[in-house]
Amino acid sequence: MPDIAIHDLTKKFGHVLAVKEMSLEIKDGEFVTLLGPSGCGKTTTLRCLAGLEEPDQGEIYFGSRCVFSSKKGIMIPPGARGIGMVFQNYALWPHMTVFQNVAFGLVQKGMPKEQIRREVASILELVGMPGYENRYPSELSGGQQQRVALARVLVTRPQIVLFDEPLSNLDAKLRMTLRAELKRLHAEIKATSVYVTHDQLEALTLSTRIAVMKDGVVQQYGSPQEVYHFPSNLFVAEFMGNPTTNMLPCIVKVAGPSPVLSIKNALQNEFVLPHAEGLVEGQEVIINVRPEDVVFYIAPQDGTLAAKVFASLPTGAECIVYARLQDSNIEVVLRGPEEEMQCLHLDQLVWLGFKRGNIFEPQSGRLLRSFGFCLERNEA
Amino acid sequence: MMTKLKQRSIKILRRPERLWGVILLLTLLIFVVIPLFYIAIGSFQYDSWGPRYVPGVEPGSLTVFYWHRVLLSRVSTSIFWEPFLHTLFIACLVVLASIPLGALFAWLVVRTDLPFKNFFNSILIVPYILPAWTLGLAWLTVFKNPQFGGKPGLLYSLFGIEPPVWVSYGFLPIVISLSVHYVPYTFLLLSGALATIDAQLEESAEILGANRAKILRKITFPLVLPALGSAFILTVGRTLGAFGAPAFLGLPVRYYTLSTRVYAAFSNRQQAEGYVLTVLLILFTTLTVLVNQKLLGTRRRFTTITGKGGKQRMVKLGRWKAVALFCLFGFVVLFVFAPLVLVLLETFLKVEGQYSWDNLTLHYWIGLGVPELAEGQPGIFRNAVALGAIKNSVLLALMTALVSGVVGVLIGYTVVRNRGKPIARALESLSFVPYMIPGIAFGGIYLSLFARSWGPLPALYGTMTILILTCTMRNLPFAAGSGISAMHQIDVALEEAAELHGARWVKRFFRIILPLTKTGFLSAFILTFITVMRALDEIVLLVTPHTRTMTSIIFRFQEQGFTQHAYGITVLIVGITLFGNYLARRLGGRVSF
Repeated sequence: MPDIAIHDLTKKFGHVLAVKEMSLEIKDGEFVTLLGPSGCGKTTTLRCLAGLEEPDQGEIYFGSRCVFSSKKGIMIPPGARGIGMVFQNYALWPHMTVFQNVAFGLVQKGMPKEQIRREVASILELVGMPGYENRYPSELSGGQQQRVALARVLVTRPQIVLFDEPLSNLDAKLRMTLRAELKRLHAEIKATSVYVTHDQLEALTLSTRIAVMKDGVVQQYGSPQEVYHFPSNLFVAEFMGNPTTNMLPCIVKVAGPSPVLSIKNALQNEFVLPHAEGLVEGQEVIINVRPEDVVFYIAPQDGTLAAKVFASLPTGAECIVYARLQDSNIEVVLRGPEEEMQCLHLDQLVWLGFKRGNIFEPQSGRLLRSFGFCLERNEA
Repeated sequence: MMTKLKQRSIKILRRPERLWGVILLLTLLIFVVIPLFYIAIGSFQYDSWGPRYVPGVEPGSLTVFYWHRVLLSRVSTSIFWEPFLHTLFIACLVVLASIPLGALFAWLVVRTDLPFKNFFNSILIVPYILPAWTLGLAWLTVFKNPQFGGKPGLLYSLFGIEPPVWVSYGFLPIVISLSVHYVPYTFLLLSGALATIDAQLEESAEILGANRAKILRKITFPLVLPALGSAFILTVGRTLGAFGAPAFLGLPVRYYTLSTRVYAAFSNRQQAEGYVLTVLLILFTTLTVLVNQKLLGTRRRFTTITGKGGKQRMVKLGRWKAVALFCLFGFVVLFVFAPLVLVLLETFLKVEGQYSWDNLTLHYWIGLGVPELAEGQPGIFRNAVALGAIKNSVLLALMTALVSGVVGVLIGYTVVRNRGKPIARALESLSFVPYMIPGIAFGGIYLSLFARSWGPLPALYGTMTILILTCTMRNLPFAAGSGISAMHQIDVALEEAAELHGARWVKRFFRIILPLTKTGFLSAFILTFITVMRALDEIVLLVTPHTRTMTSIIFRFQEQGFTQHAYGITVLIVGITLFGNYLARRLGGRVSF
C-alpha cells in the first residue's frame, strides 16, 4: 500500500482560499483523519486527493507516483488513481440493484461475469450484507446502504480509501457499531485511509493520526492522544473539548515551580498550579483544563478557587456540574462520577483545583507548556 | 339519540376536514366525473341531428350509429382517421423535436460552463408563457401564401418568393410552433432534475473509472429518466389536445387534427359525433399516461432528489462553447424574439404585407373606423368588441384565479389533514383528472352539459359563470398541487395552538391558514391569472357575443381577416402574461403546466 505525500497544496474557489499551502505525509497503511469545523478545507483536501477537484498549486504523490503536480502539469483523472471513496450520502445509484452497484467497478475493469459474481458475493459477506444482491437501495436502511457503499468501494481492492463523513447521516447507535466495523475492516484490508469528519470523537476512536484543520491550514498533526492531551494551540484545545473545555484567562502573580495565578478580571481569585515552572511574574496566560481534570472540595482548601454551583446535570454514569467563580462571571465545568457529585446542591460553595492541563499564550494562542501530566508530550 | 347526534355534529364542525373532504369530493364528482360519463353515454344516443341521418329515430334513443360513422363508415376517413393520423404524426414529431432540444438546453444550462445562464434560464421558458399560437401567427406573417391567405407575407413582399402551401399552412408550421411551445416543458423538468442530482452519484462512477460518456449513459440518464418521462407525457398529452395552433394554421387549408375536428363537430351542433371524438381524444391522452407509468415501473421508483448533494462541477465546453451559444441564441432569436417583433410590427401596418415606412400607422390601435380599412373596424382601444373582450378576459381571469386559489387551498387543507385516509387519496387523484382532458374536450363537455338547466343548476350557456367554471376546473390540477404543497409546509401544531385558544375553524382558516399560505397563494393566483388570460382551447366553444374574451376574438378577427386587430390583441395578451410571470417569479412562484 502506498504512502501519500501532499506538498504545498493550495485550492481556491473564486476568491475564497479553501486549502492553503498544505503539506501532509501519510504513511503506508495509516488511517488519517482530517478533522475540523465545516468550511475548514478538509473535504476540499480529500476531493483533491480523489482528483474530483483540481488544486491550484502543489503536488500530490501516491507512493512514488505523482498524481497531481501544478509544476509538471500532471492531473491524473479520478478513475486512474486506484482509489476508492465512500461518500456522506452513500451515493448508491438508485436505479441499480445492490449487485449492479457493487459490480460496477469490476465491470468497468472488464472482469469476467462469473468472477464478478463471486467477488460481489464475498465482499457483501465481508460488510455483513450477504444475499442482498437483488435489492434496490431504496429498500435498504441507512446503515445497510452505507455497508453496500463500502462494499462497492472495497470490491475493486483500492490501495487508498477516502472517506467523506461516511457516518454522519446515521443515528448515534449505528454510528458506534459501524465505527467498530470500520476499524476492524481497516485492520483487515490495510488500505491507506484518509477520513474526513467534524466529529472529534470519531476522529479519536478511528485514527492512527489526526490532522486538525482550520481555515485551510493544518493546526496540528499527531496521534489522537497527542492532539487530545497536548493541543498545540487554543483552537485545537477548544475543538477537542469533550464536549466543552475550560478556558481561564489568568495573570501569573508569583512565579516558581508551583506558581500562583489569579483570574484576569477578578484578581482576588488566586490559585496554585502544580508543577508548572517557567512562567514569569505578571505574564498573561490562558489555562485550559478539561472538566474531568478539575478536582473539587466541599471545604475551603489552600490554593484553590472558590465557586458556586450553578447547575448540576447528571447523565447516569457521571455528572456534569457548572460552577460560577465568585466575583467573576467565568463558568467552570467539572465532571466526575455521579455518586460523588450527588452531594452538591444549587448555590453551594465548592473549592476547585486543577489537576492537569495546558497553558497557552493569549495573543498567539500557542501552547506554552503543559502541567500535571505524568507522561511527557513526546511519549504520547 | 339526539344528544349523540348533536355531539357528532359538534365534533364534525370542530374538525371539519372530513366534512370538507365530502363536499369537495362531491363537487369534483359533479364537475369532472359525471360529465365524463355523460358524454360517454351521449356518444351512444341519437342527438337532434339524428333524424337527418336516420329518418324517424327519436333523439335520445340508444345507438352505435355515431361510433360506426366516426370509425368505420365511408366518411370516417375525413372525420376521424385522417385527423387522427395528423394528430399522431404531429405528436410524434413534436416529441422528437422538443424533448431532445429541451434536454440539450437543460444540460447546457445546468451542467456546463456556458455563459449567460440566468438569461437563458428566464428566456427559455418564454415560449411556453406565450400563447401557443403566437408563433403560428408570426409564422403566417412571414410565410403567408397570397393564393390562400389573400394577402402576401413578408417573404413574398420583400423577396417575391411565394412559399408553397405546405410551408405556409398545415403540418409543418403546426409541428414547429408546437415544438417550440413545448421545449420549455422538457427544459424546466430536466434542468430541475439535473440540478438536484447528487453530484456524488456521478463522482463515485468517475472514481471507479467510468468516462464521461459512460457516466452520462449509465448514471445521469437513468436518473433523469423519470423527469424525461413526465416531460414526455406532458408534451404528448398537450400536443394531442392542442387546439390554438392547429386551428390558426390548419383550418384555413382544411387541415384537421382531432381537436379541431371536435371543435368543428360541436360548432356545427353535431353533438353526438363530438362526443365520440371527445371520448377518443381523452382515451388517447389517458393511454399515454398509463403507458408511461407502466414503462417507468414502480420498484425502481425513486426521488432523484437528495436535496443537498455536493456541488456539481461544470463540464468545460471548450471550443464547443461557441457552437452551443450560437445554437441557443439562434433558437432564442428565431423562435422568441423574432416572432414577438413580427407580431408587434404587423399591428402597425396600414396595409398588410407592405413593409415600408409610409405604411406604418397607429390606426389599428387608436384609430376611428374608416370604411376602407378592416371593413370600418375602429382601432382596438376604440373598438367596443375589443374593449368588451378585454373587460371579459380580465374579469374571467380574476374570478378564476380567485375561485381556484380558494378551492386549491381547501383541497390542500383537506388532503393534508386527512393524510393517509382514502378520502385524501381520492381527492388528490380526482383533482388531477382534468390533466387528461384536453381543453377543447372540456369546452365541448361543458357546452352540452350546462347548456340547459340541470338539477338545481340553472342553464349556464352564455354566462360568465360557465367560463369561470370551465377555467377553474381546467386549472384544478395546478391549484390543487400548489395548495397541497403549500399546506404541507404548515405544521398542524400551528392550527392546534389556535384551537387551544378556542378559535373556531372559520377563524383558524382565515387567521392562521390563509395568511401562512399567502405568498404561495399570491403567486398561484398570478400564474392562474395569466394562464386564463391566454386560454383559448377550453372556452372557444363556450363564448357567446356577450362573453367574448380576448383569445376568442383573436380567433374571430383572424377568421374574418382583421389581421392587425387579431395581432394587436395577441400583443396585449403577451404583454400581460410576461408581466404576470415576472411578478409571480418575484414572489417565488413557478410556471405552471
